[in-house]
Amino acid sequence: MATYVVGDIQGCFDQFQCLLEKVSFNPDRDVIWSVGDLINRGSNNLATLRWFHERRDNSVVVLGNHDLHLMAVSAGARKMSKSDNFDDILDAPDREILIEWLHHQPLMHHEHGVTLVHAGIPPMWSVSEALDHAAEVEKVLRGSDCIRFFNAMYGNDPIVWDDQLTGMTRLRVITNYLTRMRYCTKKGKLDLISKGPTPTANALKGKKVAPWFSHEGRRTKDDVVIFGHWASIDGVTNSPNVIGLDTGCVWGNKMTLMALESRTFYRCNC
Amino acid sequence: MMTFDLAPTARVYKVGGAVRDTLLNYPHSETDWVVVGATPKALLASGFRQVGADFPVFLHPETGEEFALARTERKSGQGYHGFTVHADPSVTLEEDLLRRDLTINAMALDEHGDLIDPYGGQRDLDAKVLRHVSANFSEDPLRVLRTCRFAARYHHLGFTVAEKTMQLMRDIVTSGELSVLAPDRVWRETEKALNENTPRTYFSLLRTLGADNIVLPFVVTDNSLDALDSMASIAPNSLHRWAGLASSAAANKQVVAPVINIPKRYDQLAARVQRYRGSPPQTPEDTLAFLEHFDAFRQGSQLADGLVVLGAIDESFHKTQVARIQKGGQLAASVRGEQFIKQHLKGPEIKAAISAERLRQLDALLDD
Repeated sequence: MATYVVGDIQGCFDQFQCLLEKVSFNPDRDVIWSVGDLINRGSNNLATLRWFHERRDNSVVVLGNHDLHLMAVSAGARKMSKSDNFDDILDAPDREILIEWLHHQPLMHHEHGVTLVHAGIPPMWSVSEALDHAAEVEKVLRGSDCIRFFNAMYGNDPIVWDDQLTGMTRLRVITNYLTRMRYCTKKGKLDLISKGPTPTANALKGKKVAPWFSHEGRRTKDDVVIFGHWASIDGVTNSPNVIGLDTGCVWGNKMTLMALESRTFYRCNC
Repeated sequence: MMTFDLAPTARVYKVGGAVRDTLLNYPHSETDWVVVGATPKALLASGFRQVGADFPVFLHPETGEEFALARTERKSGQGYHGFTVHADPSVTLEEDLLRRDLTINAMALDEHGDLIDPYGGQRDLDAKVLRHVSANFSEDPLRVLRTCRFAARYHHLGFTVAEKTMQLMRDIVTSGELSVLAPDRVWRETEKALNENTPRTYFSLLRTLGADNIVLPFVVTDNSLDALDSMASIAPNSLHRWAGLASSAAANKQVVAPVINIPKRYDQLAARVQRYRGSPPQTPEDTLAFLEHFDAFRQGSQLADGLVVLGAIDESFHKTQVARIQKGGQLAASVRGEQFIKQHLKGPEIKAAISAERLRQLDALLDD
């Protein structure tokens, strides 16, 4: 039995299949983990989502921003953007089953000494604190309050964690850390404006921001963290403990799969 | 070989680049001919059209190829127009070939396919040397640029410029003759050089000769030559190659008016690329500014050209980055004014509404 971790698929089902063939994936024995963003912008969102749903007992999916966006649109809390193309899921006869299953997926997963999260963990949180905060959001996603959450989920404020935060504001900042973060200050102030390989000067009015994983005093610096979300760094983190698997398949670059035990990387061109 | 009813004594020879490239087994497109022992009258009577009233060059009535009466030229003043042209039936083929620039360009083939090579063109082809025919070389300073261009054309075959020819070219540069060249001719020669196999050689020779800061609006640097190489290896297009070179070169502070007439779209693309070199857009706002900078939403957009060049010369514009901007450009361009006119917005309000909507779309798109 082997465990494989795949980067952002975003509906690029063919390239995902290419990776599975490359490692001779055995669906009866092998386990697959996804860093999230299973869907949106690729050519076959529905097949991707169904594939994971069918193998739900042998797979782990942490939710990404696109997965949450699909859930919000499906719940009627948000409209589709021009760049969204998950109509195939919204029009599917098994839509309700698939979306309901997504509602039960976590924002973080921790097993075999490895932590899986879509975007990252802010410098001031340990893995166990981050798991606790993820659970706060997961609980709401599974309950009747989820539409209220979807209505409140969008937005960049507040830009920093405060344990005194309550209600939807608290859930929004947790969600932004775990599913949208790229740059932040060493104290965890979020720059959600910069999206490229270097931060934009002055996004936080002169405060020094850096990739979340590059802060010296980061409390997860001795933990292995696997994440996706950030295509424009092309998987380069300059840290062996921090493994970025989004290599921009949806932008015509590559999709990456990692064998967890051997840390071997496999890539298919997109 | 064609035959003509020009005069019993007239002979027609294939000359110039066609002869040279045939011997080199190199592709060429134009064929030039020299006619010895004929008069303009005879050519006109056979249906040829004269290209200029005072110049003994004629176009074939059917093929449009150039037929020139054998001629000698003597310099009578500075620059290209300062020539006295002498063409009459007594001018020999050898005299005509003597006024040409390089030995490899001063050969002729007669109607039997025999080579007439009085100045050692075949020898220099074999030795891969670009050598001037005679001291007449100096009579047209454009020949400095032409020689650099031939070096760029045949660099991959191992051709180099003869040391004495280099010296002659240095003397021409030092004499200040380049500054009287017509800027259009300098551009045309430069554009041809950009399209050759190794354009780097042209600009690197200009630098060696100290001619770069006379004819170019910038100083050639190793950086700019490397950028030109990166461009040349992927794009056969002179527009892209120029932008790669010019956007990476150092500004020329000494020369106010370089002797070159660069077409606007070449100048514009280079300047636009230079602005973003090393600083790819990071935010939706940056991306919209980038798209507007390259005129992505109007006729004559240079977005595609700009991305080709930046993708080749700047590693921060890697494949994913370029694709994000391209898709952003398509998405933003699909936001048009019509929907806002329907909402009864006016002038500046429409413009602001379009920008806001484009930003909203880009913001959604760029969130991986």
